[in-house]
Amino acid sequence: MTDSPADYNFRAGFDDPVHGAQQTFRALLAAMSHPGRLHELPPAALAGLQPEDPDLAPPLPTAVSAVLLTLLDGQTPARLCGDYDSAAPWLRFHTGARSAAADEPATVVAAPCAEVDETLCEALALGSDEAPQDGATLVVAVDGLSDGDSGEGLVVELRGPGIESMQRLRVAGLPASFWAWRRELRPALPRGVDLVLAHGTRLAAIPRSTRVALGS
Amino acid sequence: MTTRATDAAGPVPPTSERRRWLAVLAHAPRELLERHAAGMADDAFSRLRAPEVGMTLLRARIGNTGDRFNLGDATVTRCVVRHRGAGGRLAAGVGYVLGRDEARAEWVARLDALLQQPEHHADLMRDVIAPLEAAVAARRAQDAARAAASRVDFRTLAPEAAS
Repeated sequence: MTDSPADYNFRAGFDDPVHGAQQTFRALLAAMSHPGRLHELPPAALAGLQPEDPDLAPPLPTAVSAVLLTLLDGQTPARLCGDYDSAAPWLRFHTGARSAAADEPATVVAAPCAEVDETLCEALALGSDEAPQDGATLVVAVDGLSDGDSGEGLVVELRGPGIESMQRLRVAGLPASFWAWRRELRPALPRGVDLVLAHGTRLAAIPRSTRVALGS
Repeated sequence: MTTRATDAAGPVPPTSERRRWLAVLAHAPRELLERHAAGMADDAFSRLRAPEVGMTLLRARIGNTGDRFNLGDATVTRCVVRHRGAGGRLAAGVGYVLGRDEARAEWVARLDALLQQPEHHADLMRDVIAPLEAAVAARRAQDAARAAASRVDFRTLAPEAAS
């Protein structure tokens, strides 16, 4: 059977919704506390997301699926960009989350890295000084994520809370203009956008408090 | 919860009919349900939502006319399974039953999925739903008869109270 968007109603989520979400949340918490450090999702979080039967598998990349299943519930307006939009019924089934209306600020925004452009970034909610928690969380599936010195992608140098001196992270798929946008956002703290980068079964986070510079 | 049969691979039974068989399955006696569900092949099914126990709020109206009030909470077990039928047609079956019997919720979900598959629908309606419906109706009639034996007619009391 061909893969039509309607089939996404028939995809699995976490094997055990409670433990899967808790383990993923722990990984996210660790990632947010140590900006730019790579975190592998634990087996309990992956159980159910990598089924033997390929057409039971979640419609989104593994780590993105785990993060969205963990963060979303019925009170979290989410925005799924580009192709990801077709996964909305699947997320609604497993989490009860609804898609944000066109003029409504979304709490969680998920996008493949090809969709991350100026329009998307400018539309993100930054929150206010009184309610910085209204700032969006941007979950991006990137083409590569490593801490190595070689490989694809741009190296970003991260400094700030949670980093002793400097943390290097190599990210493939996001353009230099994105990082320039992110750098200019930093002075707005406590307003801002928290960033979760996902690739395969690993993730790294760059919270709004981190200062970003492009490395060589 | 939104579970919907997809595409146009076959006639999808209307909602009212599905509501009817789900009501029958939800009320069916456990041993009858087990007998009908035991014969199903496992390999065509996969779980979308493993059986899970939760609470639901029961609301009621006195005499079915008064204001709504919260009667209390009840435990409910729910389950969603997927069935791959002939030609790869997918159907998602849901099972909601009162109590914390996980196996029962899964049997209901499996039968619901099969009932949405055109190749099984007619057989199951005849062999499973019809007898279960009769069993449920018989049990209800028996309960009603037992309750009727202790019926008190308040009509004669009303004039006295009014005077």
